[in-house]
Amino acid sequence: MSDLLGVSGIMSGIGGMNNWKRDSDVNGAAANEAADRVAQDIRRIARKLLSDGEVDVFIGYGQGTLPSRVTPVFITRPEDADALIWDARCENDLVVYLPGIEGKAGVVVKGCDGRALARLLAEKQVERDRLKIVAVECAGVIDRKSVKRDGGNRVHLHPSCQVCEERTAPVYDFLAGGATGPVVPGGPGDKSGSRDPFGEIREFEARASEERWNYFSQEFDRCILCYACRQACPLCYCPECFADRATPKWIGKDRALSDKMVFHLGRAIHLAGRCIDCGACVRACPMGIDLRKLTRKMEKDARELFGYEAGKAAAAGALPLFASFTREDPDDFIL
Amino acid sequence: MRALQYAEQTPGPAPDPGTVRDVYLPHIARIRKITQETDSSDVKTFEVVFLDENAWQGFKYAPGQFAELSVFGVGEAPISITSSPTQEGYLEFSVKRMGAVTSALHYLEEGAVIGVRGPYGNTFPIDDMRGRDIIFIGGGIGLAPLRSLINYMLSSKYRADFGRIDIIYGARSPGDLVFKWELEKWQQRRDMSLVVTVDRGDDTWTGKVGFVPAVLKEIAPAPGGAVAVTCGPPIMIKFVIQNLLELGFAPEQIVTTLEMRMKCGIGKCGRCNIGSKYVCKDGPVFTYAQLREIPKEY
Amino acid sequence: MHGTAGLDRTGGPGVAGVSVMSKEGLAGFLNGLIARFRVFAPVQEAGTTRFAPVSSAGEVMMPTTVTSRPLKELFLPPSETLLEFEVETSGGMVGEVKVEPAEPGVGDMPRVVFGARPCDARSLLLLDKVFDSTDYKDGHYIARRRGTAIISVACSEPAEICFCTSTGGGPFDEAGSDVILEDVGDVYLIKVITERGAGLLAGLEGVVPGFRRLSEQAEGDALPGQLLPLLPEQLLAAERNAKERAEAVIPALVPARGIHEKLKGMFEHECWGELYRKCLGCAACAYLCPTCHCFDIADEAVDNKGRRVRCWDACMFPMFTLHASGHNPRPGRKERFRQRVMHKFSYFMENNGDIACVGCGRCIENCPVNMDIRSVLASLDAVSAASAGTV
Repeated sequence: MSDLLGVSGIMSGIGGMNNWKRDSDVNGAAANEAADRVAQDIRRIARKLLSDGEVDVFIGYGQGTLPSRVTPVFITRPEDADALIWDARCENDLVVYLPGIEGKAGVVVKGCDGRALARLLAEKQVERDRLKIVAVECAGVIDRKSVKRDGGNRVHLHPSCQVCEERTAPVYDFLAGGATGPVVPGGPGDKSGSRDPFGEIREFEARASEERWNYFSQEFDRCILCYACRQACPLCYCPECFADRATPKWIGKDRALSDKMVFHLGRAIHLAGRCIDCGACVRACPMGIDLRKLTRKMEKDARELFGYEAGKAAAAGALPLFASFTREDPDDFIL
Repeated sequence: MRALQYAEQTPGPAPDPGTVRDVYLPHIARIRKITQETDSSDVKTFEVVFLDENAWQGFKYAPGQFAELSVFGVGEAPISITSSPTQEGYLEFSVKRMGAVTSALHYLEEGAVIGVRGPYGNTFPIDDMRGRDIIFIGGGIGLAPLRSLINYMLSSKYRADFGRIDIIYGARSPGDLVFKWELEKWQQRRDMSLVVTVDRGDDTWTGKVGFVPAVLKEIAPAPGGAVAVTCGPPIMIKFVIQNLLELGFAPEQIVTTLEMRMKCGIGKCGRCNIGSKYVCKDGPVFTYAQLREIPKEY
Repeated sequence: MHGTAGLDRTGGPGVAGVSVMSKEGLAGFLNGLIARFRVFAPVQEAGTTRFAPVSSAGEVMMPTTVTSRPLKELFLPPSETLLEFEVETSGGMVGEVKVEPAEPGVGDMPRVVFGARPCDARSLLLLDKVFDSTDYKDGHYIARRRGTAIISVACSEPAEICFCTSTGGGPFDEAGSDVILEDVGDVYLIKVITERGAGLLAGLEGVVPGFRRLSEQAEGDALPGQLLPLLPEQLLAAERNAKERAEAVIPALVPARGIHEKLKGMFEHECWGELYRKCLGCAACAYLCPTCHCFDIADEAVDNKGRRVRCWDACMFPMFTLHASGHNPRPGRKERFRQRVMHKFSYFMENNGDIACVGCGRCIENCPVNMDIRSVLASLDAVSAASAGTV
């Protein structure tokens, strides 16, 4: 799957920013066509919402400054809607901007972003009637970091997309571009059972505890505590993060491994039953830390122990896992 | 042998290791006396002496400056020096219990040891004030930095250098007034005037009731060649300045001192700047004329 | 500060300070340094790169771009001990305190950095303005700075994020380096910039195969791997070509250096309300910036023993300026974003005579939302021009 979309020479030259699309691969032409259709529809919807006064701001994707990048844009005038784009580089989870936003907002959401939004709605961080949700049927976003590591010669789907089971938001007002085509096996939305979405976690769980500890130690030791993961996360919306608290102080200022661990383990626990695996944290991390090892484990446990899938249609609107209780909840892990 | 063979070839004078290493090294000082200033005991005044005699010799300060006080294990906080340099041999700091360090200071007892680093910041423009009438307008704990200058000016050594000295001081309630024993002393002096006011009186209060800016307007000091020095809660400062301007004071005649979150105290850690000015280094004392030139980000 | 070794062959320090080395000579060159000094060079670390101590040339990742983590961390580490203390208590009373200043990394000095990029080297000159200023000297920084020699590698192939030519530097800029190594085709030119640099190389000649003074390079005397024997003049011409080629790769000038004049009246401008909007408020930009230097000081103690540490901090965090009273002079992301831009391009210029940016592009590479400082500056420039036009 990860080698499906080959492109070449995409990482060179700032002028080539428009050419960073899927091409020269089997699905490329069809995928580009579908993406263009979605983009046109996003622009049409945004223009209409803005001119009808249905929204004050429309949050979508615009052209970035590097070939591999797009950038979040905040459109307030209908005539500026032409700046909106859609393609496989649209990696940001725009839902992160919604809590606390003033007025009425329109927002473009992929499947994962839509699950994040469902959680924010359930956790009463955003008001449904101030939102216009523009969903897209997502075919996955490109993992620019691994593309760069490969010298720009291959396109990889982001790891989250490779295990994504629902490519469309559970709640929306518009589906831009309509249905874009059949699910690609092994791509977003593949629920065929041909793959184990938690295979990587199962493999990791099977390792010796010392090996797991060493792995996490190595990963988190690279952390520079820039909090990009937290800031990019649509579900890390606490007005004051425990990591910033001075009394009591949870994170020491000497930035020891244990301090970094406390932050990342604490954050993972706070996201248990809430993380929807949009992958925004790992994409934001400048140190390439494997943050999903923890959050996917939380996701897996939530599903396997409690049958809870955060943000998915069935669970959308439900209380957070840690805020709900049934007599049937397993307790065999309690001594 | 990895001798310092190239380091010695570095152009430019080598820094004096004695001075460069000590930038963040505090002097050790003992708390000699603690005074509860307010009824709610949220303000205490600490009288401290350096353990090392030489430290005092190196600690030459002027009114308006501050020091970083350490409670070891908790951290440092910038506190204005409320004693006057005319008082030899000890320093006084009045501390309102606000954050972690100030709370820890409040837990300490007489005899305890703290760290003192400084003095930092600029000073009140004393030379420009000589020969002129001075009006002090203070609110709450804001009297602390003013007190250093007041006692400097009132000292027998310097009193003749200045004209009239008038003080308007207020607090939310009688119990919130600080330096009460000193206010009484000032009250009895004939070479100055003191008006004390409170926002809300109580059963025992026989003095003035009213907000400081309003009392200022009522007293209406003549600007002439006077200098007005004010410190207090931001909202008080705002209206005091407004009223001073209405009374005809020029921006250059209004002096205030600002508070900011600070860490290093020496203009490097980056958090206390207003525009290109560092409150810890270029301040904390500013004239209103200077404040008008910098962004309203304080 | 840095030599501008005249590269004509009319004698003088120019040619005398330039050596030529075959590409195969690099490993020997590095090992020669490692044998004599503690060498820090770019190393790989799970897909990222940073400067770390190396014990053999094989560990060194000859950089193609800037390292993920900036050079500043060798001088201003993410966290360091300023002093250690021990408190004696009796009956709950703080009786005595023993305070010992930390010796800042003295055991690590002297050391040599190999593989800094010209932008990294330049960043140190900017940090010097803060930590080695005339008023207060930061001994911890200065000890590391004085004890470290810098061998830079010129950028023959600048990346898409590079804009050093807009910030006063350049891909072959010598400022801040003691020695600079330039890839001029089949061979490296190695130029001594400072006395200290000369001292570094003194022990390598005659020891490292394929490394010789340019003045000794004669016709017909090719180095291993060198296709054609080249005269010094020709090598210097190749250097000029390489430099021009590299400069040409870096896109059009970003209005970074002149913008402080324009920013002066723009603090209150409404454009900040638009510019900041996508900013997430993380510190990836500030922490990876080679010139951002804001820090926090805090005590870390267990029982009666502790340390006062200094660690990185950033103006992008609300806690940075939050008063104990709850008041925050920079309450929102807009104010904090504005502070970072203004500090780098206006306040730093006012206080230190330069901008606090070397155009390394790390902030561009690492921003999760593609906040590109080049675009921000271009927008500010355009807005100021527009405002000027309407006045």
